[in-house]
Amino acid sequence: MARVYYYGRVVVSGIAFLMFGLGGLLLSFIMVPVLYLVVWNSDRRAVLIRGLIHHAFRLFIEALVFFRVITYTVKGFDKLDQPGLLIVANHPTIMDVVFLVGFINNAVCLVKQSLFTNPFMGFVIRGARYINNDRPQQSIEQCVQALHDGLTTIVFPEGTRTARGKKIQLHRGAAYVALHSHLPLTPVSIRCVPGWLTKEDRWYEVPELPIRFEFSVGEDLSVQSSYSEPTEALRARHATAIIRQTLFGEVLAEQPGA
Amino acid sequence: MMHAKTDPGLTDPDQILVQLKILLEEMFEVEPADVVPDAKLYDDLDIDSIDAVDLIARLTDLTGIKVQPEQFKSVVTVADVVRTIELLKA
Repeated sequence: MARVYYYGRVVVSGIAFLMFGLGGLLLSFIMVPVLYLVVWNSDRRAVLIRGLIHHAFRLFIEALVFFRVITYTVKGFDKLDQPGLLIVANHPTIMDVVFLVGFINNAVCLVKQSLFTNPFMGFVIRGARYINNDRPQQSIEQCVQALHDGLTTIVFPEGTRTARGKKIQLHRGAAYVALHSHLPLTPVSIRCVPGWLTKEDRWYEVPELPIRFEFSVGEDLSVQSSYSEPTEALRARHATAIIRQTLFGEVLAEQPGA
Repeated sequence: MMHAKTDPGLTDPDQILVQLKILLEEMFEVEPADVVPDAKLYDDLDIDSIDAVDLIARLTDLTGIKVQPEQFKSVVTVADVVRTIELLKA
């Protein structure tokens, strides 16, 4: 019986991924190309593509909930409706960005270089004007500009999903963006129990369902105190320590295996 | 602020390492004891690519020789930095 249940979970998870894949193909090869044909203004097109991704991700989340693959709770998400927030979040699973983009319309994310050149997603990601992380200084300035334009900007300071049992090394990009934009950071803590789609899991390694996601928006983080440091490099380190303490102090304490 | 002393006759790897320890502590608050030849700049000392740009500018100031970012591309460890400086001074 347990075995049947296990295979059932694998099938359900497989279907979920198939849905995600098909949705991705639909976006990449039909909807976004049509937008390119119909909307010639690239600013306007970027807004529409971001809207498409937002709705597609939200639909995917609610489909997973409907099929009892996941459940989620959100705390303080009404705050995310404001434009121009600099969001930092921890990154336990692949689903994190799906949730944040699914709940925030017209947000931009800092995306790794390899996705920009990905044959399936590159077209969509470039069209949405997400920010490429290939050249650090330029990426930071692009994030600052996006925030200045009122776009909420999502950064995962870990850069990649949390690796189990490894010391978390944070990239200082989010700190630089906060320092250059003079904006506070909005921290979002993400918990996923049991662990799923982590860096070590394959898609067919499915734990007991439903998987529970908990999202909680914390108090704004000011990096004001970092400005007293004498150099940019030290200011960024100071601000990153603030992010680490808020976002990862807690997460680490809750994962005894880490 | 304290500045690392420039020694134009700095060609000995041990001396370069000593200077590098001073420099990295001053610039990035890296613990001098952690600056050993095998230490990886990014993984062990948390020096990222933005810091590397600052470091290159600083090394250029100190050595009086223009350090090209390309020469730093293959630099992974502290020993690599020392070797790069050695080559420049030679």
